[in-house]
Amino acid sequence: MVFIKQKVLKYIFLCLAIGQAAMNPVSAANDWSLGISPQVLLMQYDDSTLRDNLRSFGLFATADYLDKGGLKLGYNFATVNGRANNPDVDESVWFLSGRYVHFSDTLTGKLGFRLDGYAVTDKTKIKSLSDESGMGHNQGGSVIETLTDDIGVIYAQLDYMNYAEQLYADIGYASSDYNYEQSAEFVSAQDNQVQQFTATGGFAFNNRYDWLQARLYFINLEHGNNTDGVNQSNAVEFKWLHWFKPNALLNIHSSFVKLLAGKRLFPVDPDSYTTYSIADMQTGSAAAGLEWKIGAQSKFFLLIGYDKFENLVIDDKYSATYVFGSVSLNW
Amino acid sequence: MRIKILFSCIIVVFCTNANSASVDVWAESYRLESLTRYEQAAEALVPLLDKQPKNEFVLLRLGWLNYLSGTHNSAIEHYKKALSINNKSLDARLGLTLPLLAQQRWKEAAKFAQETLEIAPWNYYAHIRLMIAEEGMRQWKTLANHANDVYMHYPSDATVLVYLARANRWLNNNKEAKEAYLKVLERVPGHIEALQFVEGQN
Repeated sequence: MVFIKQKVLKYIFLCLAIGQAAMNPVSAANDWSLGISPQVLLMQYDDSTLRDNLRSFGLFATADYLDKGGLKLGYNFATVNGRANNPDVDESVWFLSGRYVHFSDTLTGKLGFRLDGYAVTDKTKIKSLSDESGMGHNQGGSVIETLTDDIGVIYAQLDYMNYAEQLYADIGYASSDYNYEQSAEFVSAQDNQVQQFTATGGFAFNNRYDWLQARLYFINLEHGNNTDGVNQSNAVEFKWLHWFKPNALLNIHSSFVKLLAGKRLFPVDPDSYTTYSIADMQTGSAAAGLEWKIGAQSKFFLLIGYDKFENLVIDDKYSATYVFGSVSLNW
Repeated sequence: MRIKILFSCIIVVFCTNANSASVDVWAESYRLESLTRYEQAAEALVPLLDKQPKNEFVLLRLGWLNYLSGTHNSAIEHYKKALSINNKSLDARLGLTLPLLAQQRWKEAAKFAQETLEIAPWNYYAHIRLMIAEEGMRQWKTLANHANDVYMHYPSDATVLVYLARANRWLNNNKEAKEAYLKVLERVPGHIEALQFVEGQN
């Protein structure tokens, strides 16, 4: 089911890309602006029974056609190192996004249509002790069995920004399909489907030097068998962005603060293009970031954050501290 | 012979009436525009467009009137049709920049302004509209250099100096911004933006 969905996804985005290019076959090459953005995430878990740390590396490529829309392709690889003998998890994510902007005279603003697809593969490497030598567990070698889970996510968004760029609103819907590999030896999670609805409102103030935004998350799971019976979660996320005047302290271009209240299970974050595929409840989050301009077209972004999680099955409450850095190069 | 003369007279009368009707349509459209009834001024030309869908001037005028009435997508459509008929047209390219800037489509507006400048390198309107797009894209260094360059070619112009001053303001070059605003005040003594900045600096 997931593989079919992923194939359909790939087909949709291929068509989208071809269609975008075919819209203006005689356009000058400079109608397209291109960019790449490598990124790194380092996370340390505190008080977690299962996890020790996470290392993640990603690369995004963008192609924007004038002001009308664009495509974004990304790949991210993350490794979660388990504490003691708990399993390590390798996660690879392919991401493809298409965006089209309609300029409305009636609404005096821009209407954006966005469609994202994620193809996620999680490989859980379970360590067990072999007793092939026949001399007991302690004398046997370590055996690693890998369980492969496939997750397919589709996210659709309709957004509006007025021409004065002072008001913003969007509604989003994400459908996530979790397909867990079943094992005869280990307890496996049950396949699940997650639906997420989001509604966002934002506005500019202080002569557009500041931006405040709130996003509501409503997340429903098909069943709560993997999450101690919990099958829904709601949260609200606040973001505050501030743009500095040129030649500001440390030459900072903009700053960013994010706070999350409420609870999220398997959320899809459309701003950071992230899916949280681990079956732990996020119970709070705070992050602050700074952005520097490097030349006319490029930027460096640094974010420090703190997340709280809860593993509902084993009642394990823990936190995570992270540093995220990315460079976006455009031409 | 008489029939031939009669037939010729009928044709002459018909053509005269037709041309007269066409002139009346233009006159009516201009009259309505002068009354700021832009939608009606555009509607008056629609019968002409129905008869001559590739009439370049009708398309340009419909582009302009739609821009004035705020139906920017229709304005863009008409200007693009005019450009497809006459690819050398600076009018169509400059016309296109207006609704595109109104819709904050900075990159597209900049594209058509730059195309104009490739044909006519010191076209004043193309430079001004390119500067508006640069301001919209917050390309302050580009705008400052561009405005300074255009100022050298149009030294009596106040608008170019306003963009030069704004770019320097955003770049925190207050001394250069004040110099530019003072020059604006020499050209337009009551310029509100320039007055406010200069008074704030004193």
